[in-house]
Amino acid sequence: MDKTKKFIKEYYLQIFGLLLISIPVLKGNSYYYQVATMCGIYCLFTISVNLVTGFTGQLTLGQVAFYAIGAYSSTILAMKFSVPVLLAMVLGGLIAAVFGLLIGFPALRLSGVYLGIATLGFAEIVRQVSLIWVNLTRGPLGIPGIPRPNIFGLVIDTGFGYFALILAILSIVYIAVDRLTKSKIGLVFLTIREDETAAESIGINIAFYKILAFVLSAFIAGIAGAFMAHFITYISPSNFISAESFLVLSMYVLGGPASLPGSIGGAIVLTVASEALRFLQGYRQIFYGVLLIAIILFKPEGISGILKTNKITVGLPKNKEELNLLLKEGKN
Amino acid sequence: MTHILKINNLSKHFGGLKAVSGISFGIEECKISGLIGPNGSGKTTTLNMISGLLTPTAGEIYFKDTNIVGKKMAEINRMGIARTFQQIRLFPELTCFQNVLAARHTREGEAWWHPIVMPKKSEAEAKKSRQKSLEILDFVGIYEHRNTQAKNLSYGNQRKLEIARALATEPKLLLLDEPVAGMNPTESEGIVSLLKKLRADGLTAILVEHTMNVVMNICDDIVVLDMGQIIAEGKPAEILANQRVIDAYLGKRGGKGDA
Repeated sequence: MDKTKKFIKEYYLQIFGLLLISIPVLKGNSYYYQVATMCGIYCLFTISVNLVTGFTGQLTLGQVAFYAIGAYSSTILAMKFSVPVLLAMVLGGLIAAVFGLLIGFPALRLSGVYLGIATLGFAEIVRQVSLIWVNLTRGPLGIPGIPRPNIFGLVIDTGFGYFALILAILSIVYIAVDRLTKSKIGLVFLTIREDETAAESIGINIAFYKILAFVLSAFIAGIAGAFMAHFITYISPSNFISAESFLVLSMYVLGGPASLPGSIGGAIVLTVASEALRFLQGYRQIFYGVLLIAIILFKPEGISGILKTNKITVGLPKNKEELNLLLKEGKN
Repeated sequence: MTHILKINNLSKHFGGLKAVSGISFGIEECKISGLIGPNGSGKTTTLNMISGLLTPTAGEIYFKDTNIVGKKMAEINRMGIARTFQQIRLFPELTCFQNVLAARHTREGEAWWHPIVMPKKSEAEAKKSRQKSLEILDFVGIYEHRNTQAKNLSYGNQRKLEIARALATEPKLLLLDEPVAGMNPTESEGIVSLLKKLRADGLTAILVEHTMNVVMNICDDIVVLDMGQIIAEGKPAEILANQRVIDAYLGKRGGKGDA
């Protein structure tokens, strides 16, 4: 009992989020399932951006590159090499992580907007390669008929099945990233964001941790892309334009830096909003722009500021008693 | 007397500017050594070379008989040299407690994936670090500000936090770059007594400072730099009586005190 209570106390936001998603899902309409699944994919994607930009302070404008690499790798592995879909997804994430490692090295020399531009360029290279390497990617025609996930003979082809699967993946990733970022590693990421020289002066190997952030982030984005491929069952280079990176960046900004509940909130709000605002067609972009400006002006901490789940809690004890002792103000 | 740090013929040139040219001196264990000199005499450059922020143009720096030239700042810190900065460099958005806790991290041999796969073991380790961090905050005297964001601290307390963060890495040698610059007398008194307490605990420190009464008050030995060269070495009393120092440092303008 006590354990359940503790769990609820610690994860109430996430449970609330799940309930929030469940409402449309329980209506049973396949369209709602689809929107909810896209929410899950964007949650993963936004967490990946937050890890590298929000925690570690390395601006990435080309996160879609890893999303694309994950999607294409998993698709090609499943279709050309008959790798089971779930395994292909994981491998897709790993291949994206390898590219994260490659982009992590130049990232050591660049910072701020320069790094942003470099990642943007990388994303464009990936998209161009997917257009030109016709033998592998079928170029602009795209790859149709991507196999659906298959768990021990059970083919996932219903809206509910996909939704359950993305929820499972998201939960695993969320808990892992939550544990990581609330530990000292999260604190180290934040010190790199705050002041690299100071971080180095206390013995932090910033090169290692920057690359670690890039690799983990690429892995998560790769998984998101792979899942998307096996969910939509059709991918083409037009799925991976830079606007996608900016959409996810908007979700991250809306959620707030260095906050996982914030990222979840940002991803859900913008995914649902873009569906709800479909009648506005192209004018939706104006909505995103206005929303971003409003957040930066009035609520720079985003949703995390409203929920009060920002980074000040990183590194604090999980044990309530110890926490209270630490937070007790006043005398010594 | 053993030298914990030995500097041999150390030079740093920035293009044509010889910031430091061929200085040699030794730092004795468990003492506070002052590094003084007029503005632009190469004190901070020397400190930056010792801590690994700058790579020397020539010369060697031996820390406990190991040449540390060419090593990275993080590596040098892990060997036991910690520093503070002339321009305070804290992690402004983090609390005092988090600032110190982050510095404890490098003193634990924990792989990055431990918190994910074995959270219990990792938490036990973290608990020790948290305890130690609080002790350090208490020692330095900013325990009651532990939950204040570093950017919201008073100037004096920011300096103390920087020292606390450096101490959290358990250094053998502490490099202090103008720790009392811009402080009022009460605040600087606090830093002086803190440094004396640290020396009593066996810490070795190099102090770069302009405030003469602080230097004369706590330094055991003093090295005087001018134009990138050593012009005098010795006890505070000897330095005060040295004519070259008076000419170069205290100036011919006849000014005394904070030069």
